[in-house]
Amino acid sequence: MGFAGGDPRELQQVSTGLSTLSSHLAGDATEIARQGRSAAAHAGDPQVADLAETALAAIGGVVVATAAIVQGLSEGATTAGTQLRRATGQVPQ
Amino acid sequence: MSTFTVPSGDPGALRRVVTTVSTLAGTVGETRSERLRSLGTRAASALPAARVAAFAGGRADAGKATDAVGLSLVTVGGAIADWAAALEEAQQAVRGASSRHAHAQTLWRRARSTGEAELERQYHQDMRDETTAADRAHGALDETRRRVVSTLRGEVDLWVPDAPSSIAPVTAWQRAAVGAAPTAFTLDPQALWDAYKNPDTQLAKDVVTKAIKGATKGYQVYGVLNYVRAPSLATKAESKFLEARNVYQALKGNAPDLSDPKVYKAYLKAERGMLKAYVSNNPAEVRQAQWLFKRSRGLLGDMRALENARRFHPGLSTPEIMGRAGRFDRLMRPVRAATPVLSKVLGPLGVVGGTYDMYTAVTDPDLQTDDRAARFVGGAATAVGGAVTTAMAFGVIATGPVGLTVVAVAGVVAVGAWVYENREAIAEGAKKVAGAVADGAKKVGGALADGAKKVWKGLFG
Repeated sequence: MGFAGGDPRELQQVSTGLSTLSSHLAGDATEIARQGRSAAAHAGDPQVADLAETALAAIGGVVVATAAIVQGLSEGATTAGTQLRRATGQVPQ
Repeated sequence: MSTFTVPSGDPGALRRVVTTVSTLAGTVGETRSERLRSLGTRAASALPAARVAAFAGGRADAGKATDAVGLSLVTVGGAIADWAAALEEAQQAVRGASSRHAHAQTLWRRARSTGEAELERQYHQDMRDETTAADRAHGALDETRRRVVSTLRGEVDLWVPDAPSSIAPVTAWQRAAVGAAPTAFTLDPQALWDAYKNPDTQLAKDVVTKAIKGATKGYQVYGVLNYVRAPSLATKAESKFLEARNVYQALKGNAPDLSDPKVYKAYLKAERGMLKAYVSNNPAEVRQAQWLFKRSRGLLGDMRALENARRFHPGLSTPEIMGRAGRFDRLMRPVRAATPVLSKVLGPLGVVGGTYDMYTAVTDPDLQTDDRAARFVGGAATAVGGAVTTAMAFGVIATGPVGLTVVAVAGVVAVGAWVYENREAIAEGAKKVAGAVADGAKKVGGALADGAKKVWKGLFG
């Protein structure tokens, strides 16, 4: 059966891809924060150490938020696919 | 600190950090960004037409964040590399000057003890020269410190605006995460704290999962993301952003030598241009408030829409919320004056009309199966949209972004566009859809409300 206004199978694959991407971004955020700590430990100067760690922590925080948005898009894609299936009777109500 | 004190720090370890940060810049700014772009393109072709724009809004937010994060990482990496180089140079210079000063001092003492006045003066001058050399090395390092501190502080300000100068890293992490997330996502501060204090990917992932579970589900996520980023501003701002990004990428493509101050300055300028475009394009509370105001004034009237927007955005002034009224906006004023009243009339009519459509869809024997399903689904949407419109017009429920989204979706479905697009597919499952409600609907008209709920739930989760 074809879908003129959407493709649930493709949406499911996109959703899986987005979810994996979100996990990778969460891992990137952790690694960025870890590098901030390492920079602070080896900077020598306390002011540079503090700001290097803070800057990388802030960037890591933004990556966490980005991971959240991407996960939201993933769940949205799943929901849209499920709705298409339900509306067209592919799965029981 | 003595003149000959060697500045502390480990330039080699700092360079290893720079290497990892540069890799992360490429990973987040290019690999992840490219993956998101590719998945977004696939989603755009797979989503029902009515939802593509809203999805694109959320994807654009995430895409810009990954691009901007990549650039910010390059800037921070450049600053740390700058510091590592200056630190190493200063350490070598101070060590050398200290050693030569000690040697000159030994010779000076010897010359003084033997009464060789000329040599004594010469060695004393050598000692002074080495002291000056060490002072100069410290001075050069101080200058680099000022530059590096300014660059790093700029990056902190970018992601955590108005942060106090003494902000703790974990607080910056929390505030940047909360500030960059859509307002509907609740990022748990304690979970964020744990994820930072105990760096673990699973903990970071938990923060994300909790945020999603706490957020609005299904289509409303699209709606809210759309609310975060007003789509009418997207195209112009995005082209500016891409232009700035191209300048940066052209510079980066030539493998710039960042140790050259001129190249580094040009690089920073390109990066700033890119980030400025990003920030100006970033969803601002003012835009959110204007979005809410413009969409709710038709339901509530100007004054109540303004009060409603103030409730969601208490920190904004009236001119900020209302924005500038364009020519078209003024022409629409008489229409808007009537719509609050019309909403109170048309809302209940939508419920009645939609319910009637649903009733005839299951009782009219002349209808083809696909037409029956289309009429039923459209009727259900009209009924639910009408109910929500009525509730908003009478102030029973708050006219927030989610409620407005429900009304918009109901409108799209009610006019049959979505149903028409899928009518062939719907025909296949029409027996199941109609069968699920037919029994109840045939008994009494009142049972239609139940049926509406079922179909609504099936359509919108």
